[in-house]
Amino acid sequence: MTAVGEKINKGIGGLANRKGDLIFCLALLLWPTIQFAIFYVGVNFNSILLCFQKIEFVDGVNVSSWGLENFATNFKDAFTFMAGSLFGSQLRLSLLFWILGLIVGTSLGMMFSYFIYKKLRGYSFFRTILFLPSIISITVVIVLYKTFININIGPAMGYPSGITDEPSLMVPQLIFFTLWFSFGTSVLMYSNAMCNISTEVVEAAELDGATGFKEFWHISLPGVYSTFCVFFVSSVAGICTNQHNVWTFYGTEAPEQVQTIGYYIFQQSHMVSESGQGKYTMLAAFGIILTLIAVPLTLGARKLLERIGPSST
Amino acid sequence: MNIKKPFTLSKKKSKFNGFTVFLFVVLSIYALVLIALLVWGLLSSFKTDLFFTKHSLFEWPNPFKFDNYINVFTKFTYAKTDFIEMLGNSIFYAVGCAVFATLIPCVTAYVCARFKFKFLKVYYVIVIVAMVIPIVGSLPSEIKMAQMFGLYGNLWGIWIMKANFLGLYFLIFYSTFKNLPETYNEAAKIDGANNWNIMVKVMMPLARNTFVTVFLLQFINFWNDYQTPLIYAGTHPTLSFGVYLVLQYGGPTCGLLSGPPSLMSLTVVALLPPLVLFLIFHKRLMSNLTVGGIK
Repeated sequence: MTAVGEKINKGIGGLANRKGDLIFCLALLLWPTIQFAIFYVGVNFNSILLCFQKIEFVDGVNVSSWGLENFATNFKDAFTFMAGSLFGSQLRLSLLFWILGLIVGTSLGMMFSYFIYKKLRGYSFFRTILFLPSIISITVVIVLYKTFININIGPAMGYPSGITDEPSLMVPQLIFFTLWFSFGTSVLMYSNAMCNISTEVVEAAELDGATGFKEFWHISLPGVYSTFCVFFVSSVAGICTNQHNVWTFYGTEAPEQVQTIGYYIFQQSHMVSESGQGKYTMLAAFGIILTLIAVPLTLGARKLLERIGPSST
Repeated sequence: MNIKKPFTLSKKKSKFNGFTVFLFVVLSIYALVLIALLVWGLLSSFKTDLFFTKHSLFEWPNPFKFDNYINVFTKFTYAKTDFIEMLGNSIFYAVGCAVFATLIPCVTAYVCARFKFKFLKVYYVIVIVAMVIPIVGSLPSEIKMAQMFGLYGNLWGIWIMKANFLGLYFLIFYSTFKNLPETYNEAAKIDGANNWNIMVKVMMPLARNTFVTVFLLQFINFWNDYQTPLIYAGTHPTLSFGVYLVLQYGGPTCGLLSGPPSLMSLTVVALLPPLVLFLIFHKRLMSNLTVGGIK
């Protein structure tokens, strides 16, 4: 066969290979694409459609009607709810959890990561302990925690009925629990990021007399900035969706003072699944309004972090 | 032969200073609290209700009884579902969801990482966008869609809903497959392997460690998850769901005694499978997780 013939054959063979590769890719991506189209795109599109529905429970049956009027009513109901004291309280608590998680939880998590990264005495044991709450069911941890403090610590502090049901202590103990048991994979991610810091930089800092905290502040923290950005952006995105274990602590009838936005949405959705009733058209409108607020906040947070962060050089 | 130590000008510097000592103390307190809780739960599970009312701290159980565990295995019931059925539901739910939730992102990431078609970049962008953009309040809509497609009320319906490629694990698999050399592909093609054989017999074995780690993490996650079965398949309670029910409504609603020792025995039984898996695979889980860290 001539050289040109060989080239033509290779070209034809190449085309046939590309066609085969394309068919192979399309076949493997068929299910993921369909699933995404239905359960991500379809679900969110359906959320928008629900805003145009009004569903009434008449004579034991759900009766739905469509229209722009319903759209306006659902959004008006959602805005009315958002102007009320319950939403105000939920928003305040959700923000409080977020701020404390950022200031206390992230700070401690990074410091613990530093300890593991430096391979100080007992680091392997502490790494396992920090990872344990990610393995054990949070329900189990809450059962142990709630039972122990209500039976042993509550009466000792003068609260015979327990701490978790004491109105003045509900929120503080919930915050304590959420912060205390929030370490886990984030600590491992941060310590991994710290391992990428150049050893020469660390040695130079040691030679210059940098103390442990100075090394942590000036070298380790900038080194994990990109990992911090990912967790920070995720936490901003989760302000309105994170329940902070309220459902597990208090079930379907949590007192108003411990309700977060994420809890409220889950509570109302549970009512939909249990009885077919519930304010789910208003909830759909409520969710869309929150999404429209959360998206620019999340993207803005990302942009801000990129701008103020340390340079890569 | 005597070997003298080399002369050094200064002592080896200790890694401990004020800051790290502070961290050591805080970590020790943290570890103590967590271990104390677990030990307390274990000790309490062997106590009788009467003994527990007077000795509710770390006292050794006297009498040391297995009755609470026997009650969990023989009397624990919710909605006509006994303990064995709940255990079966947990295994069915956790294994099925873990398989699909690992396989789908793995295969999707393989295709996106190893083939050079432009449209494949869309999948990568979709994953990033879905992680960054928060969608709030879509749960009612998801319930409606599940009901529409007949997936509601079944544990296998949840498998289908979890069989997507979104999430962090897609990025981990993508990174794994992207870092594999092309020479493996070329060698396999020269030997006459087609795309399917290359994927199944060459590439997947190379990504085996990552696959197993992700599968284990997903299994533990789904084993501990009670909210998804609560919403989508309430008539098929899992063990985690059972623990939640006893926590909220008390032992007697599920056939157990009312005292804390019964509850503790149930929690110990529920926490054993993920704990055993962790103890067996802890090095793999923690080392591969750190390798797959976010850049």
